[in-house]
Amino acid sequence: MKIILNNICKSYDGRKVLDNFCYEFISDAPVVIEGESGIGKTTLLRIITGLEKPDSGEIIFEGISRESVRFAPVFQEIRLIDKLDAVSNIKLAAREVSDDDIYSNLNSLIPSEELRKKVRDLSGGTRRRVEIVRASLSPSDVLIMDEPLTGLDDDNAAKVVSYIKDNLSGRIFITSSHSDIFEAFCTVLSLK
Amino acid sequence: MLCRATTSITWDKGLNKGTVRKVLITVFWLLLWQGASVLVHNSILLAGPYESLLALCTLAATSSFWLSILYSFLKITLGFVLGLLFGVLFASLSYRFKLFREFITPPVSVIKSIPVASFVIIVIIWAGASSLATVISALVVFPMIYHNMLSGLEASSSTLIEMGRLFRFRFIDKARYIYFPQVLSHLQSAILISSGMAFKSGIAAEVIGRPLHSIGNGLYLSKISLATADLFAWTFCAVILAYLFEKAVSLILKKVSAA
Repeated sequence: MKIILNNICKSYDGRKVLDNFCYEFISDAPVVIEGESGIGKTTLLRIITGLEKPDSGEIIFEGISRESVRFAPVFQEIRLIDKLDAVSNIKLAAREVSDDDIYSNLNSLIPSEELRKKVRDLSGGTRRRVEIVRASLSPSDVLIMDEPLTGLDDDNAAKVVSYIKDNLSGRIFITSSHSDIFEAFCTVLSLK
Repeated sequence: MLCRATTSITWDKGLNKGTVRKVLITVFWLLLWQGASVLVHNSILLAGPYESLLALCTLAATSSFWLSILYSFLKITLGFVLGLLFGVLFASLSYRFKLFREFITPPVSVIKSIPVASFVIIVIIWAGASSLATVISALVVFPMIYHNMLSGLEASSSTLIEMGRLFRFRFIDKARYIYFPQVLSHLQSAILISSGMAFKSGIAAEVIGRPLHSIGNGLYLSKISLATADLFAWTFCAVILAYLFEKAVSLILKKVSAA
């Protein structure tokens, strides 16, 4: 499967964020987008997922129709259902996955005593890890993670990156990060 | 232990004090009412609480009294439920389809601004008096629910909506976890206020339309026979009915929001 971006342009208030941007994202070829804050990393990810429309240019999905592409996102900020616990949150996005699988995946990143707490009572870093497990377990073709390591210390960041790598399952993986930790297994795409 | 026992006694005393005060205040107003009626000495102008209670007892001994209460209650409740359902349905459609919203906005504004009395006359001409209370209470409830439901939907978190869309949440999960919490906070007060308004407007409509076996008809008959005590007795029933209905609605709302 391939996502081809051709001459994508996007401006905000007259300021060009993406100017004739071209790239091909391919399954099994993970990509980390790097660049300064405000350079357009989030905009690019939002355009790929269809949450935002480009001013011009085209996005071609090869090997799958646009309507049937399933995205599994980790957004820049936490987006969980506060009143539910981690397992229930993941269950909403991954209905076919068994509770046992969800537990064992969560347990590899989060202490088990945290799993039955409502997510609003968890720390920012723990909620982030819940989101990463949710995206990884969600049946999907494209994993999109916008700054997934925000709020994580170095040890946890390393664990999370290893977890993400082990659970790519041949999906297209696009992430954005200020850290170089993803460079170990991702192609670097620098936005300037 | 000693401390707990002391706290408990203080609380009980507090409760009794509050209850006694409420009873005394009620007795004061009843005595004032009774005193005024004795002074006026004209049961047409002002029937006292004792006379009104007697009238209520006399009315309560007749089957038509209970039938009137039952029919008014059922018809107004049906109107309230219809107004609620249509308000929720139309607001959801308006939220989803912009064209539908543009289409529905003028009639909703008209329904909101037309006086209830005008509607009563129109409904009597078109549908007769028997369904009057239902239609009028539905028309009063509908715009309030519509507007509050719509603003609740619009206030729902756009970030969570995006998340639910990309993860392809089921419709029921989106409704329950993304829209419902926001909608409920907007709807709660509207539902409570409109439940009271449904009763007031429904009974007012019955007074104009005078359908057989209705509280409104009872009020009208009290008026033409100058039976002020009966008027107070019917009013008392209407107030109690509206109060109980509002309490029931409030209880349901609490259960729903807790779930």
